Amino acid sequence: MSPELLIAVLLLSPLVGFLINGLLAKQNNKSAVRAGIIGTLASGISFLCAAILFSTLLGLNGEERHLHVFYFNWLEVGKFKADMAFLVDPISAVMIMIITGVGSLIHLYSVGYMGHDPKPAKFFSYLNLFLFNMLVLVLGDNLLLMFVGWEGVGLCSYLLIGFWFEDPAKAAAGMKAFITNRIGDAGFLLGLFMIFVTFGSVQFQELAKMTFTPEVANLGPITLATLFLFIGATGKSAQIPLYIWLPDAMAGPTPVSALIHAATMVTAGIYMIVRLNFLFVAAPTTMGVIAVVGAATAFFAASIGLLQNDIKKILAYSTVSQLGYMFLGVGVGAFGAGFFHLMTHAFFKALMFLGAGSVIHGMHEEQDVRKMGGLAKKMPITYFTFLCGWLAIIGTPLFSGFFSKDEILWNAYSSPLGSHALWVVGVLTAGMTAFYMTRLMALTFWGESRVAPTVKVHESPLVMTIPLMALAFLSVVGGWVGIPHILTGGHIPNIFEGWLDSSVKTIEGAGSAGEEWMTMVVSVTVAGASAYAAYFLYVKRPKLVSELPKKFKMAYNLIYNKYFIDEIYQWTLVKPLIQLSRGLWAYLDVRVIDRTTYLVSDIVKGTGDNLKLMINGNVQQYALYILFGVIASLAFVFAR
Amino acid sequence: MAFLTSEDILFHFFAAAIVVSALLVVFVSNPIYSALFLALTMSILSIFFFMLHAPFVAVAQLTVYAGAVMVLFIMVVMLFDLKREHEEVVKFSPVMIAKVTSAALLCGFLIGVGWLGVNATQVNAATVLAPQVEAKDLDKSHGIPVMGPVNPDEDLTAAEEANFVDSKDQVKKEAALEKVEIKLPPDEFGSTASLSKKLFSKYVFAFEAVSLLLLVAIVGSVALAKSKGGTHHVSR
Amino acid sequence: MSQDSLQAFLHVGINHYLVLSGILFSIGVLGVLTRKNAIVILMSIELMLNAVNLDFVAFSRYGNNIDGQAMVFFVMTIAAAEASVGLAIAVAVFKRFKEVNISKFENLKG
Repeated sequence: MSPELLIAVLLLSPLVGFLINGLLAKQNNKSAVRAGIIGTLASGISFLCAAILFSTLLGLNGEERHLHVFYFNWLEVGKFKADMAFLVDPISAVMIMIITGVGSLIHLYSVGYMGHDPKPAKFFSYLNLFLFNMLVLVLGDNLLLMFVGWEGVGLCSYLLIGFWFEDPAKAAAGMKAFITNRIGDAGFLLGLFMIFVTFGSVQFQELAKMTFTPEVANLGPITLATLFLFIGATGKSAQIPLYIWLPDAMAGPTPVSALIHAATMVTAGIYMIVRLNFLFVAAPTTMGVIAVVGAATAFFAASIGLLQNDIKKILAYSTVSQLGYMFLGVGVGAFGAGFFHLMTHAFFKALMFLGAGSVIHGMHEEQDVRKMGGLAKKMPITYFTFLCGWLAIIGTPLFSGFFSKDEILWNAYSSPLGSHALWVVGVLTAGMTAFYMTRLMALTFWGESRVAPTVKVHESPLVMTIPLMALAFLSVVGGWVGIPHILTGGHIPNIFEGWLDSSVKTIEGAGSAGEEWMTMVVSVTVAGASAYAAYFLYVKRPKLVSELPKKFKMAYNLIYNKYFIDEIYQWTLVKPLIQLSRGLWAYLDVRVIDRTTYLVSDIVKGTGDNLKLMINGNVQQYALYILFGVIASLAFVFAR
Repeated sequence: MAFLTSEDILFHFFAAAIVVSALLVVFVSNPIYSALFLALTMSILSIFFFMLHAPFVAVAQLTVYAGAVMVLFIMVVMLFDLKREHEEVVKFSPVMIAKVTSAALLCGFLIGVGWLGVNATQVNAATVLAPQVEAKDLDKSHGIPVMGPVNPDEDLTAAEEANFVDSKDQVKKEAALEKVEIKLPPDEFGSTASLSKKLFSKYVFAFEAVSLLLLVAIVGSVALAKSKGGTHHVSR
Repeated sequence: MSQDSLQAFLHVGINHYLVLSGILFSIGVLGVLTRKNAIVILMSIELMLNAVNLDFVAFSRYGNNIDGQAMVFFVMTIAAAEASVGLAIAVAVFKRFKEVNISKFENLKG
């Protein structure tokens, strides 16, 4: 099977699924199973193609490890050239496996979750469209094609968040996501333009071959371009200041949150930076910005997550926080580590979102953790798989999250671009992560049941639990491809690192093995302590917990209300903008522009009305006018 | 006044007459009188044509215009029984002034432009009317020689006899053609012969087209006038 | 040289015919513009056409070119056809409206 065919099928399969479910929506909406089978099948075919491509890549070595497929010349304007061409290299191969693999599992899950929804065909068609766009994003061989996918996933995110748009709040959440994304997109575009202007190309392989001198970089075009691109990344990957859409995006169906807002779309920013690692490495200023923003976001979001009561909101803030970790990783030059965490996070976060969905489904649409408790016995499979995810995210040794998070923290500590301060922030965040995740477990699954007596809790059907089990498995073993050297004394190679070597220039940390051990021990200890503290508070001393908000009222209110960031944005940005628009409309548009057009039309009409008086039906008058014309032309001839 | 020819006197007299007649066409109120004066105008015009060495055109003018067209007009006017339709013609409104002035202006400009054109192309009265023989206009493809005016009392000369068309003597005829040069007497300017030669050679397409046009006009007129309703107020 | 100019004035040349045909044409135009009776308007048009014919023949004689007379031939034919059609229309109008006064037919205003 040639790469051309494989990539074509890979991309077109979800597109075809989108078309089938979209065009036959009326029929397919009646049967969630039928719509679901089409959607899942499309996704599954893509996964097969991805797997084949991945294995092909495995067979190649070193510098050869890429497949570049050119279909046709898409756009060529002056010096600007963008082809319909796709690049499968180690980075994108991992991405397509995650996207199609986790995506297929989520499609399967959705068959159960959306079973009673009135419009399942619409749902699956949007999911498939999303897959298509995400694949274009990661496989495109130039920035413009990536941008097409970038915009496309933004669109699908909007469509899926606002899936139940009959509820105005949900529709508003969709709009918020889209608009915030758009601001980021502007940044992305500016970065694209700058790169083209500076380097003459937007094609990745061409850019990779160019050499970038740091002298040119600082305060120069590269720094500016990468900063703009990073702005785009903050929009798409929900970092400060554009993270605000992600918690609101929980208004969408839970599979959407799992797929888009945990595993795939939000990782687009990280992917883009890893893709352009050679460019970012040449701009240390931007790297510093990225690292700081990432660390700050991780800390900030984790703090908010400590006090949320909606199960999905907790996970949402957790996602923002973990994304912050990834940015911290790439910001200090550990592209491999950041990307590794992207992969493991995809597994356990998707797992936890699906688990949350299972809980919500089993609790008959209840999402408030204060009304849950003791679900471990009533929903065993969900509980067990969720447990795996929990252990992974808090960084329990041997689980996937441990390896990836640790790698990042170590690099934050030791990399020339990192600093001890960043490391400390990272560790504190790890502590908070452990705390709020354990809190979630405690409130949902452990302890006394606070479930209302009228709610009959039940375990979810197989079609939903199988994906949970698959993802739980991955959460456990997914990290074993990236075991750091020091743990095994070099016996088991760090497969992940080796895999990425050909495409990614990682900046090596300059630290000793002892320091690496130290960081590892510190993070595990902090995480363990926090987890135990949360367990203690919420399981053993729940009454103490209910007292705390009264004692620390101000702090509690501040954090519980997300530091009022949304309100601040509303007052400082949104309202003035709306006022400005209104003012411009009232004065400029209505008074000036409309008046001018009316003036023009009035002139024309007036002229017409006046000329109309000439036409009075009197033929002889018409003849007189003709005569005037004749005389005029004769006079003209005569005068010459 | 030896330099004043008879032609000049005739011209000036009839010019005055025709202008008066034309004015009366426009300014009398009874349409019948208008028609009659128009007929008079056309007749005087044919006199002019005679003076201008255009006998065929002059006769055609009398026959077609004064004889057919004007009769048609008078017939139609009488059909309408327009006695009671007399109208005020001279009204002296500003519009009327405008109309008269523009007509006058038109006249002036027409004459002016024509005068300039005449000066430019040097058409003048001193032209001697040359015979209108244009060998290329003649159609010789049939090879039939055209004989000039023949005195019936005279016998054919030997050459003419040789040229005479004899169907049995085709070869002889062609041989004779090569030997003899045909000399035609020149046509007089404006004669029917010269006009018809022009019409049937250079303007033959227009000639045929105009005949088609006449057919169309006939059919159209009949169709138009055939509509329902009588022309008198006494209706059934 | 009053004698020369008088000679030029009196001795008939192309210019005389030009002036005459111009005057006749203008009278015809005046008739078209002024009269209200449709038949009289048609007659004025015939007058205009005749003036043109005069011009053609004059130029034919003084330009020594028989083509002018050929043109007159055609103009005459067409004028006759046009007069017949025009009168047929006038008859049809009269049958319908009992009227050929054009000031009564101003429906196409505005």
